[in-house]
Amino acid sequence: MIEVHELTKRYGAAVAVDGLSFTVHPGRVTGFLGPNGAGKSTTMRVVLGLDAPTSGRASVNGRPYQRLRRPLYEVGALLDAGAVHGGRTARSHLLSIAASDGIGRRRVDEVLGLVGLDSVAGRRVRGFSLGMKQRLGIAAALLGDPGVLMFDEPVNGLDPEGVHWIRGLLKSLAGQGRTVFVSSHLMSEMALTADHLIVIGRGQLIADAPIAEFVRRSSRHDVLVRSPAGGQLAVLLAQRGAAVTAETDGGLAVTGLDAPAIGDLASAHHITVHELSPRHASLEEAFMELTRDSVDYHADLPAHARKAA
Amino acid sequence: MTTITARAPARARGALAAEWIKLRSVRSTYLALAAAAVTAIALGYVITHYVASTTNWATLSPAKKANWDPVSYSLAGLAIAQLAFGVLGVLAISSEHTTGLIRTTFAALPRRRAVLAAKAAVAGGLYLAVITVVGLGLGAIIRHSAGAIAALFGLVFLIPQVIHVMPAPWDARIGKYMLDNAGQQMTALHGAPGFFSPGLSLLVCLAYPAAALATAGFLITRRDA
Repeated sequence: MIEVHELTKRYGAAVAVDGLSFTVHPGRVTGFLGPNGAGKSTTMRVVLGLDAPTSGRASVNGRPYQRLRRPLYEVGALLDAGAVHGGRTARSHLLSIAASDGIGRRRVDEVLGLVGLDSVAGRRVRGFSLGMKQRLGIAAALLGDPGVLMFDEPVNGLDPEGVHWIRGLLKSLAGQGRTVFVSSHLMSEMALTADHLIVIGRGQLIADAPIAEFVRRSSRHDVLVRSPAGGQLAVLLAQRGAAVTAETDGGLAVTGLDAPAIGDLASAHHITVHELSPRHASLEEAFMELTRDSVDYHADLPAHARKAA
Repeated sequence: MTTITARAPARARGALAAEWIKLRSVRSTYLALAAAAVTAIALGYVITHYVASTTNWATLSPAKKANWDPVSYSLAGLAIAQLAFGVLGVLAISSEHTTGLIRTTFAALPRRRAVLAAKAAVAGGLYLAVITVVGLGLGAIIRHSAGAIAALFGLVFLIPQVIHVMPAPWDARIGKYMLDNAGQQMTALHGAPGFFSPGLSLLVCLAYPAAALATAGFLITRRDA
């Protein structure tokens, strides 16, 4: 469990994180979403005790990171896959980290196998692709078999196979009851991996809700109807209590009645229908909408989400 | 409280083990050691050979005979070789800041002073601990490899040279506090006039790494990684 409470971090005049509060629960993948520069990495660094908060606090398993007795056994983190010494081999890199918390060579070989790097364990990291470095970073995070895992943009620079692998890994880690906290600036990616989303923009909380909630709340949730007798159909639909908006290309956007009901209505009045398609806003669109109107949603969705949870 | 006390030795052992693996697992360590050894031996040989070949012992005055110091001639190469160790100290921490690896290190060992102490013990425990630890301190303070190495060269090499060419008695008055002079006086058979005794020179030598580590220890918990 990761708790962030009223966290503010300023760098000089710039505010990176602004009064941020949220809780990351175990047993599910929590996506940490926001445009670039929203304060995601800063928040993660504060959670890990690397940066001191200007005000507020962060804790892991109920304690500030600095107070954890054996940090590697409680928290595994991948912040920056490039943060390795190029001249060191993958195994030496892991051995040095493992040694700081008394973790042995056997576990090092185990995690190398887990991330599929066992065949290149003796090679210098300098020659690794970004994907291999991501795997190495994940191996380091897994060393202490921790219950809390934090990954900052883990799919960046990965090929499709690597992306697929990470998705499976995150889900299986959460399935084992661990707290999994993953940042991304891609809603489409989070839609496929996360169960729950924490969305921030300009260092402030925009939304904290299950992913299903985002789909439900997305404003575009209508049926597109095309008919040569559009005007007549629009009147009939309105009589049945549906809201009808004319699209620029002549189609009708209908809300309040679902596609079968609209089809039945048209059929009953012998109206020809050329197209009848239910439309949902994609999560990507929902995300864009959220971050665009961050001020409107700031107080709204979190409260709603808490009620739902 | 008892658990924290019980954890302290394990933590120190972990920090030391981690730093030892780091030091052993990069090529620059071996290069620096080789460079230092080659320089120290080669320069020591050349200088001693030169002094010996240009000196006719039989014609020397009694005063010059009394001041003849073969130990300092043979160790003259260390003046250059020490820089390699200083560079080693710098790289022990600045390479982690440059790559961002320091965040992984501090996440694994949130007690940052334990990390600094372990680096000092491991990097400095090799040899010429003083220069190495000064380098380490500068690396932790400046956090950029090039800048810290430049500062180290300035402190160990350039500033002493400038002071060396100052008119007497200022060359000795300031010079005796310089690391290179203090190092020489510490091992010299015959102390130069105006400089410290070997014992005081040792203290001067220890003051440098102490000051560098103290400054680094002050800053390391106060700055964002």
